[in-house]
Amino acid sequence: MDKRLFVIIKKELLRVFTDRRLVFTVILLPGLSIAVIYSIMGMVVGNIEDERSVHKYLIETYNAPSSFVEYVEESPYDRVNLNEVSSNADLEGSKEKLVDENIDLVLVFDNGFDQELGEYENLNIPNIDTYYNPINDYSQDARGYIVNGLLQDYKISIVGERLGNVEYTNVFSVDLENYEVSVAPEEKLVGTMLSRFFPILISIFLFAGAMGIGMDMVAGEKERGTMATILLTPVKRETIALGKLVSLAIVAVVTTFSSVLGIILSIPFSSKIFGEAISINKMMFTPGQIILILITLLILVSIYVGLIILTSVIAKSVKEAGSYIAPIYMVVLISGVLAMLGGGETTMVKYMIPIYGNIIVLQNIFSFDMNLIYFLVNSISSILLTTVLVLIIRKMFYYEKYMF
Amino acid sequence: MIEVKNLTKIYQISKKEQKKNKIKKDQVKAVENVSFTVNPGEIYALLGPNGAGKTTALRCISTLIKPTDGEINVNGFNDSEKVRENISFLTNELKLEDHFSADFTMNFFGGLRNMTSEKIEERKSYLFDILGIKGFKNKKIADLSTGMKQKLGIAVSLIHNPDVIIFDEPTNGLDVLTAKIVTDYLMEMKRKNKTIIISTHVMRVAEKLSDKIGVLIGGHVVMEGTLEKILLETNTESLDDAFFKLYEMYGEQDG
Ligand SMILES: Nc1ncnc2c1ncn2[C@@H]1O[C@H](COP(=O)(O)OP(=O)(O)OP(=O)(O)O)[C@@H](O)[C@H]1O
Ligand SMILES: [Mg+2]
Repeated sequence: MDKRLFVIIKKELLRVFTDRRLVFTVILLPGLSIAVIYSIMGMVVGNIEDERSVHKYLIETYNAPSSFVEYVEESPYDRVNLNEVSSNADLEGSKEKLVDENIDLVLVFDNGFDQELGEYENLNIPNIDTYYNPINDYSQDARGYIVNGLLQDYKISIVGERLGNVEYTNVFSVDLENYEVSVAPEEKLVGTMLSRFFPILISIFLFAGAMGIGMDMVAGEKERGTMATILLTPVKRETIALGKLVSLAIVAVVTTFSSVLGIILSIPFSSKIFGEAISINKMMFTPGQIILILITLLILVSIYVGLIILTSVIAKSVKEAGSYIAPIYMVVLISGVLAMLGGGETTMVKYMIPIYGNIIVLQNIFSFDMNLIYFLVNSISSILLTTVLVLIIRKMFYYEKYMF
Repeated sequence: MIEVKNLTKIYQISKKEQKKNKIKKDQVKAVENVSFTVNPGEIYALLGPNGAGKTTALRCISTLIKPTDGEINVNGFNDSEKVRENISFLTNELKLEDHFSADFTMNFFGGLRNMTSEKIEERKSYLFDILGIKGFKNKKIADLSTGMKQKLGIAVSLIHNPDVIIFDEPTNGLDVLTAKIVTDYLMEMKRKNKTIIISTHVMRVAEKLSDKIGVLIGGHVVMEGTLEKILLETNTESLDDAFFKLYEMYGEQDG
């Protein structure tokens, strides 16, 4: 191998990594902004959730029987604030309050509720009407809390009274000492959350990180006249092209690493966004899976770097390169969105589509659900594309029209 | 040794550029059927007005662009990579990266020419010394003045001590002191038997430096020879007068 390749790579990397502005914008900024944004998002989501779990529900009752009021007072359901409304004429008013989110729930007991309870042998079953506002989170929570929780327990206590002992209502137990109810492997659960977000984020970070530097590496150098100086040395054009490609790939990997580090740093605060699932110590990949992930990432990097350098070669200036790259960036974003939405059948064709297919492969590996055939199909189609890109770039480096 | 035989260069102009520069033609014939030879130990000056095709001819010789027609041999080579190993080319459209220092830039280009680090150090200290670069060798190129950049450009182009030197308007934009450093250096290289070609539109530079002058007007070499020969053939007393006379004869046609 021509050792001048390393001279070129060294220069490109020094250019990026000794430039304080570039180090900040390309390497530190992505990671930092992601860490900050996710932490803030996580804290906001967390606060809302915390608030929801202690909120006291304001409930207006109609004809609430004294047995119910007493039961609530003695029960562990302490997040209930009952307020008896004196006359039936106010129901419309209560509904308005629900809509205005001034109260969370309305309970309307039948007249003579307690009396009918007492005459249960006549099969007179009293009724409770409930009203809530599903748009209001608190109201929605309140209905679940009351209908599925409090009222159920209230019912059981009444049955207990009828049987003479509350314990008699315990007919059988389910899973009393079974601590392994869920048999899905833990890493598989982790996988489902991770697999949705991670590959898409990484794909976007990779492209976005490589984009700016890549446009400058060729189009910028042509525009500033520094490329011609290099072209006048006896170094083979393909060596120069390869040097640029490899350097950009390294930069892309570094920026992606920074972004991923940003996500990891934000986890203490942002785990609420991703759900409990995302925690590093649960990401137990086997060495084989890690190798597959690295191969797929490397392939994705090659495609992106090839596309970016190609536009950079065609363009006469950084500005022109920017206008060519915008639609490609859109394709990258759309591929990510489509992959996140998922759905559809698992077909070979999906895996043959570059970028989209690569993201799907990453998702599959992350969810511990990788089919090796699909992996190979995807790798081969991607490598073919990359080869074509590199050949075109190499050819164009010899064209006076593009290079000078 | 440089041999140029029947060199013709036609620039193709894309539709986009035609629109941008508001021109109708889709090609420009920059030089046509130009031939000349430069021998080792000789300084050849291409003298011509703006747009005559001087830079184009030198770009072709230095392999930056491909001739449309004709043949060019440099030290017997016409393979681009071999030619590049043997030449130094200086022209104002070849720039150095602002971000780096003179020192790093020299190391980089030495590396690209497969030189050992000892050899690079040796050439660096020689060129920095002779061109007066030492004082700013660690400064970023962005912070250098035009003259300093020009000096560094010369040093970079000569890092590999080539036999053939091709300088396009080497003293353009330089003050008299810096210009003298450059012309003195070229004379020194001539003594060292290098093959040297320069372009200029400044008569005095051509007069003072060159052994042979090729007068290029409208893409054609209209007269070639030593200063004495040109004065004799145009029946004039100074290169200025000769140039005006030749321009009157040949310049108008291309209007
Ligand atoms: N890259 C190019 N594309 C198209 N036309 C060009 C290009 N470079 C030069 N030309 C045209 O070729 C002709 C010769 O230009 P050239 O730069 O060789 O002249 P020159 O003698 O060096 O002039 P100057 O003294 O101004 O430097 C001019 O008409 C110019 O407009
Ligand atoms: Mg010129």
